[in-house]
Amino acid sequence: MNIRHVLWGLLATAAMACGSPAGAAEPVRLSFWYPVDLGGGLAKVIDGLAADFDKAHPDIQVTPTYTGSYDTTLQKIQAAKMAGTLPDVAVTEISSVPVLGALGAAQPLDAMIAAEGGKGFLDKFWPSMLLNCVYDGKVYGIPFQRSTPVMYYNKDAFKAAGLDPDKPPLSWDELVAAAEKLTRREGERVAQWGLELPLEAFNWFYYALVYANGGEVLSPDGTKVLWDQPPALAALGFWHDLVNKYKVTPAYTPWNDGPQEFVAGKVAMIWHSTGSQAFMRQNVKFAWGLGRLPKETQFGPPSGGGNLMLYATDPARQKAAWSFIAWLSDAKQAARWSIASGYLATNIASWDLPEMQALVKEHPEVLVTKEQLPDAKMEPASAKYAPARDILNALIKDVLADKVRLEPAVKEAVANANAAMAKQ
Amino acid sequence: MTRALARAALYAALLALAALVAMPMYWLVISAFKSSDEIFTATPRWLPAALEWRNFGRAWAGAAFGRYFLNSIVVALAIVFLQLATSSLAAYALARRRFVGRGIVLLAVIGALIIPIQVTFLANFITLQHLGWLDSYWALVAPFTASAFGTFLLRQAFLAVPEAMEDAARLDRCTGLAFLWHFLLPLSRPTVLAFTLVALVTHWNDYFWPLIVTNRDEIRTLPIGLAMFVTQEMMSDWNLLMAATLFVAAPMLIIFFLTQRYFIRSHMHAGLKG
Repeated sequence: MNIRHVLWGLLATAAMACGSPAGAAEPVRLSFWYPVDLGGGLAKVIDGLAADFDKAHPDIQVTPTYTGSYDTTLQKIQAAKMAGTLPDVAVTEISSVPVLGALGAAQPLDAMIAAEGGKGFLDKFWPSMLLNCVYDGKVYGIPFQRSTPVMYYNKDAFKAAGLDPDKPPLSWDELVAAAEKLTRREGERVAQWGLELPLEAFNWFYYALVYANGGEVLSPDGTKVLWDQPPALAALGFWHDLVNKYKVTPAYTPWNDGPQEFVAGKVAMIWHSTGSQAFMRQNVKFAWGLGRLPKETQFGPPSGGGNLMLYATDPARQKAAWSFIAWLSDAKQAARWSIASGYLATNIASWDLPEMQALVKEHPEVLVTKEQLPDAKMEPASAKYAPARDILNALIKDVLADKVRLEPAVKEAVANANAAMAKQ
Repeated sequence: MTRALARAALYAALLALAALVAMPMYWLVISAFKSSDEIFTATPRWLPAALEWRNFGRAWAGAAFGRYFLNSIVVALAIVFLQLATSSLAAYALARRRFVGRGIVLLAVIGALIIPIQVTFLANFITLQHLGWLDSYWALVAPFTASAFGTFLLRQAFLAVPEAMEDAARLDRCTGLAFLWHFLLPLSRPTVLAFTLVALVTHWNDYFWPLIVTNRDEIRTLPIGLAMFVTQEMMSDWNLLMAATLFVAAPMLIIFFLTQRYFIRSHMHAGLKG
């Protein structure tokens, strides 16, 4: 190939690129980025949803693209913002709403929601699931693959320990009492732990404990952490006591190890994502049940997962992107996604559909996850929270390992976190 | 007699160490053959009850692996070829030529060794966007056409070739690039091979960069296919993940076993990671 061929080739390509002036019959092509999982199984569900949307909307064509984990998806979007190659729609972790809103990457949805019926449209979702969708007074996200933590417990172990297998503990006192009965020691070794609170980077169970104790984690304006306030301090103290005073909980369980240890019978009660139900159904060989996260002063499971957000700026694309978001979050599709994935059905009407009723009939414990939904609280989120999240993670590990004294360590972490958030 | 005993003890210790290192590989292989019921058991099972060959078919169908394989091969080979070309030329200049600023250039190369991709990815990404290369093979190859590691490694190897040989070659009118091609590269063959292997494995395994710069299945590579088996919040299908890992890692494992003595040599040479 000589240089002339190359030049002609380039010219031809350029002519093709310029030569199709928005052909009337051309469908609007939307890019949709999503982080999911599960043996390509869920990726296929997403492909199926997109294909069905295309069928119902001949003028729009959605191309789904797998984008790795929540973190890599966020990085991809941040890079795309710099380069001007944003997708039209993407699913991102709920605490990144303020990050992407402040960056000017995600677009506010209020005008489109107003056209769709305003409050009537938003009222279709559990109000608690909308908490993490707002930034700066505007709605940026629509709930999609959402979850809360829930308590999985081994009914056989409950019976063996003389506990009622149909009454999981509902308060912290009951939780400690049950965990003490369920913890079985063989000499120095623990054959079965009473309770596990696995840890991941988002510090979910710290928030769960603080909320259950009536506390807050982050100031409403998102600039100061509140970990040294009495309810938060007592919550971390309680977690410390589960490990070091009552000795019913191991100091550290990695997130993914928890369900495996539950399946293996090494722990009788475990807090984990509602999304782990499919795994438990598939692998647990004993009778098990779901319980709400026990309360001290109030029920308040934190929420997690991902929202649908819109990035298109061109009006025609924006309109098409919004119709995809509205369709995907509608009762029918929300139910289909929930049943296939194990995420919560965030659309209230989904729960009345026959397919959802069939699921409830087969797995009645699912109702516990629904029961928790009205009380769910938001995941702490602000444009500057990321460094604080990491400081908190280190603090929790140190406190549970009994390496530091609770109060001074929390004070120091609060000072560090506030300084790190102010600096950004 | 004592010598034989000492030798037996040494071998026993080495065997124990080898078992420790081989353990994860063994677990990978047997897990790939287990049914999902068998993945988690209260006591570990060292052999699957029955060989689940279907895992491989299901894993293969879980993502567009055929296409990913082709892309990984094209991209990894292109990168390695280009890196060899640029690194050997740069190494030749740095090892055998005198010019103003050579020390500074060498220092810059060594400095570049310690900069992780997370620092440079945004700048590279925006450059590619300006070139219009995002979401194409170019985006996967272009940022890796030069290698500080390769340049440094080959420079060290070239330095080991004695000056007298260059003088002798000069008498036969073999200078400059001809000397590089006919003397330096053949004499440094172990290093060249070792670098080739390290670069091949590094780019075969690269996940972050291809994920960031591509959106289409048609140009994505194997590690992205693998990642699709790992879950975000829930639990993964471990047996399928292990089966997929096995066939994704197989080409590199085979190449490694065929050429391992060069591999080991490179790590002893430099003590650096590609």
